[in-house]
Amino acid sequence: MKRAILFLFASMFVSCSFILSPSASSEMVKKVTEAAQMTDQAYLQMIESEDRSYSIFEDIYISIESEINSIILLDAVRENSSDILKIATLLKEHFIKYKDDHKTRQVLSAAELRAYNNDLKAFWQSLLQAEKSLK
Amino acid sequence: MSLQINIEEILQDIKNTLESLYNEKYPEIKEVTETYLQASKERLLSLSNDYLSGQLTSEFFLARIEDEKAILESQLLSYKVMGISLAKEISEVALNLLVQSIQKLLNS
Repeated sequence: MKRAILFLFASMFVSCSFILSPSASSEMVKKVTEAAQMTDQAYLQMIESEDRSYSIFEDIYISIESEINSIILLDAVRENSSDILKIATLLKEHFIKYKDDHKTRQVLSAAELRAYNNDLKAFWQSLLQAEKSLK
Repeated sequence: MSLQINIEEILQDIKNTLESLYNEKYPEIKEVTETYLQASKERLLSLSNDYLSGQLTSEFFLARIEDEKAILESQLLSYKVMGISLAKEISEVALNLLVQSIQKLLNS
């Protein structure tokens, strides 16, 4: 009887893990897609803006950094996600490097912002590919 | 001849080199290679066009080429998650060829 109950619990646990993994993964794909879109939109706004002073865009930089932190936090507690975590960390390092350049120099040119946006898009693409393929 | 044309030629050379280097194995890495080169091409064309038109300093341009290494690392990690085992090797070969060619171009 005890064996039957243990077997039942074990089966339930295995079933749950199969159900939870894909939904957790698709939630991460959605989160990464939205954050990537948010980054692209922010940079496109900066490129189009007549005034590209850092102070105007400080809040959006903080919002994006917070989204990246949230993705890193969620990936850190997932199983088999050490490589994804490294990608997200590379993304964060470069996002901060580009943000700090804007903060230090106060105004960046459209071409500089375009280059930063293209690089960040590449990091987001790597992260999205990895999130989509993580079982 | 503009740098734009040269970038396209450089990437085509990289593809040809990888094809001859990996010969029989090339079909299994074709998709990854072409996706990587296509993504690099668009980024590098935009960067080189802005550099050539005087909108970027050489310091900024070279710093972005340096960042290509981190972009490549992130792509390699994603290929690893996707289970593509040859990706690290081919991407390193591709990046070395790319960096060498761009440095040659800037020095010429």
